[in-house]
Amino acid sequence: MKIKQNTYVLALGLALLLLAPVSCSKKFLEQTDTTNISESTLFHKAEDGVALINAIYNTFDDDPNSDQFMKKAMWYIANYLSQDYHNWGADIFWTNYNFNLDNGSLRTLWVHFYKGISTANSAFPIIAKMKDDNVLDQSLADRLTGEAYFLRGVFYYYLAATFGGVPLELEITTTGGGLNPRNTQDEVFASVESDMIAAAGLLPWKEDLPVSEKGRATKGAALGYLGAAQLWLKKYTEAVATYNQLEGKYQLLPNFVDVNEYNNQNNAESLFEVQYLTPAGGTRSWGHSNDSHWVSSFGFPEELTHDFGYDYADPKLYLSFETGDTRKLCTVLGPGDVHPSPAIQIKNYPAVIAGFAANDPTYIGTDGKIINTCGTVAKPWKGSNADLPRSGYYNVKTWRDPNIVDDNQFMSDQNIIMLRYGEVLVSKAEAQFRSGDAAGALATIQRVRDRAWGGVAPPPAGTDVLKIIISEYRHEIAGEMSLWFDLRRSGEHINYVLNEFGIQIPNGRDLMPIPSTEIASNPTLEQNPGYK
Amino acid sequence: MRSLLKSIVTCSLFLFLFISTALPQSKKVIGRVTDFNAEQDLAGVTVTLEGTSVATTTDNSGYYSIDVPTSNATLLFSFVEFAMQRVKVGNRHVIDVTLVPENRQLNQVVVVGYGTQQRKDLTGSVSSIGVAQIEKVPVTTIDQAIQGRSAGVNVINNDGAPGAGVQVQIRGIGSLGNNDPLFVVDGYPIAGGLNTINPNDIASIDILKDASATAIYGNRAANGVVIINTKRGKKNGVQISLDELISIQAEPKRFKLLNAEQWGTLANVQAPIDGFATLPEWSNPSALRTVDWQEAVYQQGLKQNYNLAIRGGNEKVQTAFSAGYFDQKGIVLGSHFQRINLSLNLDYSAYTWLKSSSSFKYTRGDSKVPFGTGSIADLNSLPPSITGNKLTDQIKDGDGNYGFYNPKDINIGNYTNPVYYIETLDQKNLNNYFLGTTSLEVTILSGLRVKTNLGINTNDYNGYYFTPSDNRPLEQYQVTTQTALANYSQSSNNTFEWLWENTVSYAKTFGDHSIDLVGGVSAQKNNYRQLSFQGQGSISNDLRNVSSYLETRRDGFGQKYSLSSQFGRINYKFMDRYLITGTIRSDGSSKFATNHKYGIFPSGSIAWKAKEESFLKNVSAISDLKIRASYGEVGNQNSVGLFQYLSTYSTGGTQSEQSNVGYPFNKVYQPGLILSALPNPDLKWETTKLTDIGLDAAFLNGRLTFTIDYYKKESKDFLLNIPVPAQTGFTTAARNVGSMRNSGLEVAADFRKSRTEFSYGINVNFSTINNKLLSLNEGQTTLSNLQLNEHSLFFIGGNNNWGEYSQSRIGGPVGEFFGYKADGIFQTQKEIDDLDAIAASKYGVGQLYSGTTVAGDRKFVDVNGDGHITADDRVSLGSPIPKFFGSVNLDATYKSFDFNAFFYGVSGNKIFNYNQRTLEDFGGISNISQDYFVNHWTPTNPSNRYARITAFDYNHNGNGRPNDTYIEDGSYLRLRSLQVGYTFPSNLSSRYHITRLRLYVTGQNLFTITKYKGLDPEIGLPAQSDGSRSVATSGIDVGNYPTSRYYTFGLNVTF
Repeated sequence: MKIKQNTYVLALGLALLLLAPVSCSKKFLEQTDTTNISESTLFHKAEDGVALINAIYNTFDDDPNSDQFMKKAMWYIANYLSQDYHNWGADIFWTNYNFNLDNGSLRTLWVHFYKGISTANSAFPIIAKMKDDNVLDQSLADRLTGEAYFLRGVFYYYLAATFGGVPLELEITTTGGGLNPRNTQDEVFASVESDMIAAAGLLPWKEDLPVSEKGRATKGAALGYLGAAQLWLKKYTEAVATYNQLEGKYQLLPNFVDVNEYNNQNNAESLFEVQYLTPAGGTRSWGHSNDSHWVSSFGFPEELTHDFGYDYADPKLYLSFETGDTRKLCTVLGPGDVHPSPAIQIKNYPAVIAGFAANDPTYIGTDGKIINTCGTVAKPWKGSNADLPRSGYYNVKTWRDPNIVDDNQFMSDQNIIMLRYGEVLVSKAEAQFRSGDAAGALATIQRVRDRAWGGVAPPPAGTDVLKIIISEYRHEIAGEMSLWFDLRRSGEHINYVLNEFGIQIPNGRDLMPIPSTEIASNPTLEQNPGYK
Repeated sequence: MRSLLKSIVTCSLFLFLFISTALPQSKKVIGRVTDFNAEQDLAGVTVTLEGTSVATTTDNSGYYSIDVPTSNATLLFSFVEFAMQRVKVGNRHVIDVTLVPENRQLNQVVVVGYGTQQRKDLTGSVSSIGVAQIEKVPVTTIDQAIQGRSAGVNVINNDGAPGAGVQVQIRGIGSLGNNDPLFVVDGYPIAGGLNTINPNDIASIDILKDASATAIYGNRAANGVVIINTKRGKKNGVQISLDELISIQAEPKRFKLLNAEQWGTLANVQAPIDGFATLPEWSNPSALRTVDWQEAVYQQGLKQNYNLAIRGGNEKVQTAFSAGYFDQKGIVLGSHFQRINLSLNLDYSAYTWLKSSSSFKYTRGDSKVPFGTGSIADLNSLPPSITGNKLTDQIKDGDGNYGFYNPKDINIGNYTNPVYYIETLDQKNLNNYFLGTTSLEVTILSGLRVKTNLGINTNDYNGYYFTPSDNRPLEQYQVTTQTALANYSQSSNNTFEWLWENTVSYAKTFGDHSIDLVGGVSAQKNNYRQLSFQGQGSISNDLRNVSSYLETRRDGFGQKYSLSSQFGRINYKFMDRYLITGTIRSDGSSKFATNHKYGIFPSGSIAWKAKEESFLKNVSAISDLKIRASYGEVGNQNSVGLFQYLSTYSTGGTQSEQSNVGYPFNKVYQPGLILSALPNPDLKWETTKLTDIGLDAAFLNGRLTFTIDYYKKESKDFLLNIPVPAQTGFTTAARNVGSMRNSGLEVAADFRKSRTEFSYGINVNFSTINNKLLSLNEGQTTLSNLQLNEHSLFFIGGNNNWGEYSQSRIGGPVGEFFGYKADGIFQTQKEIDDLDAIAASKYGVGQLYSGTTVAGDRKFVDVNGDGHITADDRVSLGSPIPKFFGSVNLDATYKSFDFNAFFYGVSGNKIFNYNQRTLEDFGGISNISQDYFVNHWTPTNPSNRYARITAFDYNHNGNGRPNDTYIEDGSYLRLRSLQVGYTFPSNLSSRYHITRLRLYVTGQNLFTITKYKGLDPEIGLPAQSDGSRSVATSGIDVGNYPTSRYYTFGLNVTF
């Protein structure tokens, strides 16, 4: 009997136990990831919020997967399409607008900017929550939110300027996302306008930013891009008003040569500048940190670096400068020219010193001494490949870093100016002219020219104000990061390229093709008409 | 040989132990044993006095004589292939017995998930491997015991390194990720650690193949389930067994390479052509001393295995204790594996209604494979001379100095001396493994049982790796670049896992109806922590502590995962001829987000025992006939990582790393933080739908059995990194996409015949696999290298790029080799010029047919006819998946001798012989094979197979790029094992109270019939330098650690 009883007790006990593993199963299957950094382990301190925003700026840095974003995507598009510079080698499509739909530069541009956009999109809700949780105080939260708006606006600005309308993604996507179709170009610039207005309302002026934060987005930068977006949207009066807010906040440097000087980074003329740095102990060669860039090395003549020289200037640019314009040799250097920067003297380059010591005629000047000019008129520097010579003219705006010495140290850590007051003034002039104030436009142009002549410049030739403005864009910002975009914005780009270079841009090819990989992965994207 | 001696002494000691006493005599029983139709007498039948170790065997006329103590005694008559008989002695003095052949298969008990079934009532597809089969081949790990024993199960030795695992694939490659089956040991589903179980402890291995059998393991069952039970103590008796073996492993075959003089001469010829510098000492090649790296590194291997087991018990308590020691010295210098096993199984029946069952296993392991398991090819590439070294021109001289290559020579400067590396390396990989399960079972009513089962599984690893500082290049050549700092890394990890399962089962027969139900719940949780340190530079080479080294890397983290499941199965039988089984498992896993935590895995199967029908019942030609069909869905969660569904953030690394996501402000770096992957809350397991139709038949009174299965296995939702629109911010994301089908036929047949002096059996099984990739992500048609990175041992770069060597395309098998088609060798410059002219006419001046090609280079076929050779000319070069594999197992006993021969073969697969490519590559610069040297193309020695010799081939034509020159037929037939055993006559051994004493010799891999030219056609998965293996490199011979012949001498003693 005893045994029987025990059986029941045990059986009952076991029966109860039976369900034990089930009863707590809901919680039992919730595990916390303590290995990776995730939303649950982050954002409990202000630095995390700052770091989240810092990563959006990092969009401008090269990354291991697309090593040459600033050069091969941004700089190429800004300058090759306007024909002032050409690619040395096989990439002749930049000259004849016969683009491959798989072009790496265009895909890099697309991928990079959307990465930045998604990074910004992911930040908005997190920053808002950190503010609600009192992790961030009001002013820091405002600044960080403003920076995210600004940067997202900048990314869409360049995307639309390059491709026309692109899909607007304004929230972080999850699995199965990313299938939005293209918006119109105007819708994208309207979004840029709205982001910049939001940013301008949240960001401090440049002078109010602590020195340690130099390089961050400011109210001035937001207004600069806002004016540009308004120009795209043909809101000329609004653009003039926007630009007027910048009066007194930024100055043209007295000497044009100082604008791109290595020792003059983040100067008074600069509205937005991509920041670079070679870390202590870091290399500037292969395996460099992503906080340095290729833009310098590509623009050097092969004679100075034993390598590179992948782009060169069209002599037409050289010849188009007016006499007395100090911008000429600060923009393009030709045979027999001495670099205008006292910090950069050709004779100081190791390749030149070694070549001269070896009695190489390439490095012997006309006076028989060590050469200090970009080749000589008699013997221009056209590279080592006689079958495929360069023009002998080079973009010196990107030479500025005197620390670039040879091909073992070719990465530059000099900042790259994306928007500066010189360009703003020309844009303002365009806005003034388009809103009916031709006289005001000419007065604004004169400010730019006076600085270019280092005092008082002669008035521009001719009476076609639009032509004067276009010429001023070219001579002020060729070789920087804006020319093609401003030309296309003006609507004069097709005539301009035809008149200056005799090249007829094929119909619709002023817009870049949407990369084929993108259309493959998002079939709702429609290709630009010029590529159908 | 010393070890052999040792084992004999050990054995003898045991013999003496048991000589001491003898039982009091009381009565002699004699009799004769015949087979069931009294056809003939049975010799060699074991007659045991139940509950004792007293036993004898019948003589050639079937007669026996045995002393029994009392009338209450019971005699057991057992003989291979016959059902055991138990006979009470009573008052009888003469007991004649007729043994009936056992229909082994039908009465066999098969272990299925959460229960057992008789094979005759099985509706699913299950292969069983018994202890008798396992003992036929001396194996060191359980998975080796499975090889060739079961249709549909493909087991490939990865390589011959001691302790190296094998690849077990049940019914083909079913996943692009993880393809390992689930192993369940004594009721505990274990993750990895299979080679920690002592094969000598195995009682049975049951391989569940179709969904009907596996679905009860739900989310982990898609690759099949292997259930392993270990030996338990029997009631009323004691058995002590001692098993010992010593195995000598022959040195592997060697490649014939150039000697120093040949190589030096060749280097002098090529140097001006290829533009590399020679060393002064090469100017007189005949004075160079040859160093033979293969000879220095290969050695004879030695394997020793000792197992002692004591198993037995009484009605209430049964125990099985075993201790095992295994030690293997590999055929590559320095390679070593050692394992100590302790096991205790304990069954206790407290009352008739209360029973507990426990199983405890402890293993300590240590392994060392200093030269890596896939790096053997390096030996063939090393230049065969180090003459000119200031220290010594020998690999190791009499003073203990190791020679090395002149570090000033840029072409061979990076090569190290493998012997120096192996002998100065200090390495330990210690593992402590424990698996324990214990259950309590209550029988409430007849047929109704409740059981709770608890288990723990822990593993502690601790290892270190040390290489000394090397200043020789600096001291002797003033070269700083190759001096090495002392390197030390130490790591440890710990796994603790527990399992708790409760089940209720009920079995009842009502008239013609029988039901058998089991239902239960299960919870399992795994905790893992690891810590590792890597550092370099120390004041002394003798220090093995982390604080003496400058840290270069540290790593440590912890993670947990959990599973919670409910499951049930119903077996219904009507009139003992119609069978239905239904199974369902609901599996919850912490690997997935809330909405995908649970998966439901159902299966159903039916069987018809046609033999039981009246129209067959009396057909004596057919002793059994059953037809089965099943369908079900099972899952595979092993391909998914923990927390892969979550979005994580990354700093991208430190400031100096290229991937950092920080940014400088005012020229001071500030760190960044970025979303590192798109959140994927929809992430889920892979699902496999499995259909199986099978037939079991037996003829000739069960002597011939036959099983055939057709299966179709469709798997889908592989976790792949697929391209996504970049407007999401990411270019790829891990998604569940794609599907694949495996189908095939599995046939197993078994025939046995027993006669007085001669019994024999033959077992044949074979399988076919038809593997086909059905779909990938929408718009995607191919998958390169199964989407994994290139193998670390492959040459990557230039025209010789092995970055892509396989491609899986929709409609074809997965992992097909991919590359160029070769069309012989260019014999004249004109051939090339003509092709170049065509290319130039199409693409402009200077455009070539194929790279910088000259006469003597390999010609590749312009498959797409566009006038030049580009990546678009690559085509499929065949599949590494065999179309057919199978084995033949022959057994025989003659008098006291037993024989076993086991053949294994595969057919229809291709091997990509990367190693051959290495042997034909003068590299930059390395040694080549004699064969290539003699036959290579020269204007006067034209060859249409062997290209010209050139250094830096990757800068030229790329003769060694992935192409079909290196594709070979991988079919082979191998005599995996041949064993001859001798069992001492019982009258001899029983004098010493030895129940059984058997000696045997085995030869493994004695011959292989194959067309394959490499060392061994059995290509498993080569290991990466980090030791990981993936199906992506199936069938590629990178110069694997070869498998060679084993000669084994063994001893089994049972007391």
